[in-house]
Amino acid sequence: MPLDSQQPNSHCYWLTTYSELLCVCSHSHLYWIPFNEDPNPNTHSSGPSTPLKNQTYSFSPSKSYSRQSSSSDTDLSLTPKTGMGSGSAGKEGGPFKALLRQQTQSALEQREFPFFTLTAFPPGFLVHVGGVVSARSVKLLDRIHNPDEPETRDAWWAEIRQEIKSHAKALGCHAVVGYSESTSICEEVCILSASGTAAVLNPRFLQDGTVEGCLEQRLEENLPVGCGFCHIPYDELNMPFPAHLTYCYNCRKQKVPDVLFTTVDLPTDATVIGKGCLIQARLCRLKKKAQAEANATAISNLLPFMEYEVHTQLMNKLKLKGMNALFGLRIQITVGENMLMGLASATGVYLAALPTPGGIQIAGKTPNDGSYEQHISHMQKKINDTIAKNKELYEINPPEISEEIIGSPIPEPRQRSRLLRSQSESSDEVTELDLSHGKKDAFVLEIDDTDAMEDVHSLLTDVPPPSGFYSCNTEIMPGINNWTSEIQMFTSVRVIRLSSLNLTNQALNKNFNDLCENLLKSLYFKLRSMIPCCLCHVNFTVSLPEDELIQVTVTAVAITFDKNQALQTTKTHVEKSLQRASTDNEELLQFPLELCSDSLPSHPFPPAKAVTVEKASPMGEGNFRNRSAPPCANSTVGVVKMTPLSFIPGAKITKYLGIINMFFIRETTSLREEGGVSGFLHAFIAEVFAMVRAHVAALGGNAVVSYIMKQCVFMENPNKNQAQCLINVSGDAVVFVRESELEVVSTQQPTANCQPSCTGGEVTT
Amino acid sequence: MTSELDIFVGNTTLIDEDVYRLWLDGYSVSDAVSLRVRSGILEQTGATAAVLQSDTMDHYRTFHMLERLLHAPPKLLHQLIFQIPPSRQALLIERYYAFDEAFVREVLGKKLSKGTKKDLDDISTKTGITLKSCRRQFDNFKRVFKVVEEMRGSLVDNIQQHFLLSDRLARDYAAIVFFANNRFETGKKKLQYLSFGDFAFCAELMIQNWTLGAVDSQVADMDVDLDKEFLQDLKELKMLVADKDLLDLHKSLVCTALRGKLGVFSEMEANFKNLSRGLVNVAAKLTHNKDVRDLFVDLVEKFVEPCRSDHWPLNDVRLFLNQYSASVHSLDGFRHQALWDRYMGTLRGCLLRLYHD
Repeated sequence: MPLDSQQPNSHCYWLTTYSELLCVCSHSHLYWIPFNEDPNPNTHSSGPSTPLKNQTYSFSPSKSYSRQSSSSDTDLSLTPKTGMGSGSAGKEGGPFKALLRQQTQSALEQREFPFFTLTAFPPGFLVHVGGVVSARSVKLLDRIHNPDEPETRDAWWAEIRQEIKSHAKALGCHAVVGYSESTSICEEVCILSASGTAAVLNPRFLQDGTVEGCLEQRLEENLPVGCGFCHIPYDELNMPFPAHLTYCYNCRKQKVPDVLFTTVDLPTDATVIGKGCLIQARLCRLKKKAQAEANATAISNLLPFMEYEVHTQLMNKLKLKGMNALFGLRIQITVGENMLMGLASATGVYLAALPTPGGIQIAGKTPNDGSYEQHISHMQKKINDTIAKNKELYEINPPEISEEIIGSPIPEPRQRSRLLRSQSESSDEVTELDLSHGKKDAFVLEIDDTDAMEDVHSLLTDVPPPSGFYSCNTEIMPGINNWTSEIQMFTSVRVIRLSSLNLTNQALNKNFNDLCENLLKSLYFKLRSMIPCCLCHVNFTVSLPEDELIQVTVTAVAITFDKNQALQTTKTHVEKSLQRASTDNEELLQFPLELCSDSLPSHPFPPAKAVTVEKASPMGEGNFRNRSAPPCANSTVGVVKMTPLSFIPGAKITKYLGIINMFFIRETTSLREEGGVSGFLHAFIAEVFAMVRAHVAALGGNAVVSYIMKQCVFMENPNKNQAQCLINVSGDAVVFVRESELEVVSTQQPTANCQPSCTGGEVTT
Repeated sequence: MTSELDIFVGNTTLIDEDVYRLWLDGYSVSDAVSLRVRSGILEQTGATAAVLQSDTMDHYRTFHMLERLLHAPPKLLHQLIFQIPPSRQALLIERYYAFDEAFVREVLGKKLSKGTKKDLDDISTKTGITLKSCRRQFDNFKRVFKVVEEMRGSLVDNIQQHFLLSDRLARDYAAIVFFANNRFETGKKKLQYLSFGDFAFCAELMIQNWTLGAVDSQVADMDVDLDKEFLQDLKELKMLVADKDLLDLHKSLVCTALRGKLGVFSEMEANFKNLSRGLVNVAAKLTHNKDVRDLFVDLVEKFVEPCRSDHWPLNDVRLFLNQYSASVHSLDGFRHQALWDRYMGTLRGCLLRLYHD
């Protein structure tokens, strides 16, 4: 179905297959669906019989839901559809009526797109996680009839969302969490991408009950803690793809896959062994310069192979780290004039519930050559050493479990799952992959060409961070929970110029790999004074501003942690996060203006708020006191913290002041005089930070959380001594109080008359 | 693969003290990188030369952007572009205004003008301090000088207020400004043995006692210009050596008091008239600007050198100077006791400081 029938004039290269692939990618076995296969496997009728499948439960559109649509990049072009968040509600006379009506339906099932862009959820919210689902589509922008009207673009996105939804269904899931959409545009070609994690959600959270109620119920049910979300949501006998299942290593009752990929943060109640680490897959593919349709075709043809390669790299690197799950996976495909770039970032962890990953075995195709054999065995040894070293580095020491206890075949340590690397030019891809369909269990890397050799080398050239350093792209690092208040948010931008002569895919890959590795190394070096520390929320963005230019932008926050208290129990951490979920978020977050309104006493979904307010837990009272406390606690005038995380370690956010969303454009006609491109951009970004801080300070805040640099478009013309840059940043302005100061404040103010309904009304945009 | 652009911007501006020092010392990026490599930082951190290069470039760029703020330190405190913790701000300022002993000895007492600036090349060659660093130090002197030159109030306080320097550094700058304003000669060969500290010490004493500010704390230039009236009055001291009776009486008073206490008594006795003539003549000559400039040369020539050639121990010098100034109070025919004290009190302190090898 390469052509969109509804858009006869727009040639749409609709790649269903490889997105299908990715939904499969969350397990170690790859499964290739031929291009012409129906993208929607008929899982609906014959599908998994998850216990929730036919249950009718109501879904009150939580804030998270409406947030999702508002935070979507493409929201502007989205016409309100029934069931699409608050859009419909507004039309039907007051949100509450609509919500009431929706509540009585089995909302989630009825929803057009049950997607959540949130990546963190209250404990117990995620019942099962199916895996990553993703869809991409290549479009030609110059074929839009009315570029000013959103219809065409809406239709494009609707297709993609439909696709995502069907993937989720194929995995036996009714919702998608950690959902995101992105575009990459070069000239008139545009790649639309969407990805998320298929999941089964706890219906009770979607009902009108309170979070506390849910937690209680959950405890009553005595669900396995820390592994439930790993259990497969699909039917074992009707698996949508071949996967290697074992009984859960934690509860030993249900089946789990051997590897799990997700786009969400690690659930707070997940049991993790050791620490996590940032894992990146990097890939470039050259492409001939072409126009319009030919270009779009070329891109469409390359994409599946790139996805496959990226996935292979992720798998290999994950195994090399001795880990078995990826969280926060974000695959970015960037299109340029003459190349495509793929960058996947995720945080690898060892989930206690999943089996120990097997090793990696190298196999040569020409076994007769003695020296070659020697080389192979040398590499094999190196790989084994690296795995052993990584296990030590990340403190991965899973308890030994004998097979009898598990009562099911588990992969022995030496056992390996099989995966054949793809050769991008090989035509027998599909058949090769079909080999892995059966119960092959060796993870074999075949190095029969220089290309593959490079890959194995690049596996080993990824240098681990220096000791005392950790990095992840999720909010916080699993296994570290004693953060200090020392944080340093930063943005780093690098642009390299490729020598245009004789560029090969290999050279390109190496350049890109070096670029990213050097960038990380630089960060480790620059922030060495913060050791022991962790780079959190490491966010890489790749763009190809010109033919031979590659730009990588990184924003992250370095947080120092206390090594001495490293043995703090995870339990307190979970409790803390529980509190955070139940009290902080409910009472302080978001929009009490609408939600605490008394004018609609019977309105359906604020019980969560109402109950919490009535119950007025000691924690809650504390919060109220803080709210009424003037911001005198912020004695450090002028200092505004910035962080891409949703919280500030060692501090309590007492008030949300609204969204900061700022666009800046800077141009210079005296580039040399300003210190060249580096000087220009350095000064500009420093000023952007300063303006954000000033804006927050003007609102009475002292920090920005959830900070993100959405755009950093840089263009230069050195001959004309000119450069331009556009930057878009956003975040939430907040007031925070140090936890140490908090105690002082609350004891000083034993009584406080506070009206929760009148706080936090000023939402600035 | 060439790097076109490479930047790192932190919400809190990162300041690397070592790189800052290299930057202040005027090293180019490549020199700084090789110096850092030699310091063994690569082995300590496992970084590569490329990382070091990029890091150094970043810091240099930051310092370059900070430099214009450092020219007026209060601006650094009130600007919003760079979020820098107060302790780091203080460090940046203090280090920026710090100077090299070797350099300051070269320009101390010279007019802080374009002419002198042209000589910086030679100074750089002579001292081994990079020209860039010389320029920065020279410009600092000049900038401080221009700002506080015409200001009312205490010189040290003014410098501290406008440049946010530590007390010690502000005092040093006060000395530099004082010397530059009065153009004291410090470069002569016979003065080479003196350190900046020696001169700064003398400057402080002179500011306290010999300037306008010493008598009236509400005039402009009070700490920078010497009290002209006082210098005029110093002529009156001439009678101490011109009047033969007075000189003899003074000598006998000193000799009586010091007999048996000095190791170099006989030398002192023999040289008394010469020394006394020297010290008083220095005072009497201070009416002329030219002679004011040569104050230190004269002091060394007329007092320090004769004593040194007779191998006076420092303690004997102290005893002699104490007795020498105190005895004047017993001279009945001498009426300018207060003037003498104002002159000799400061001079005694200066001479004791200047008297070393």
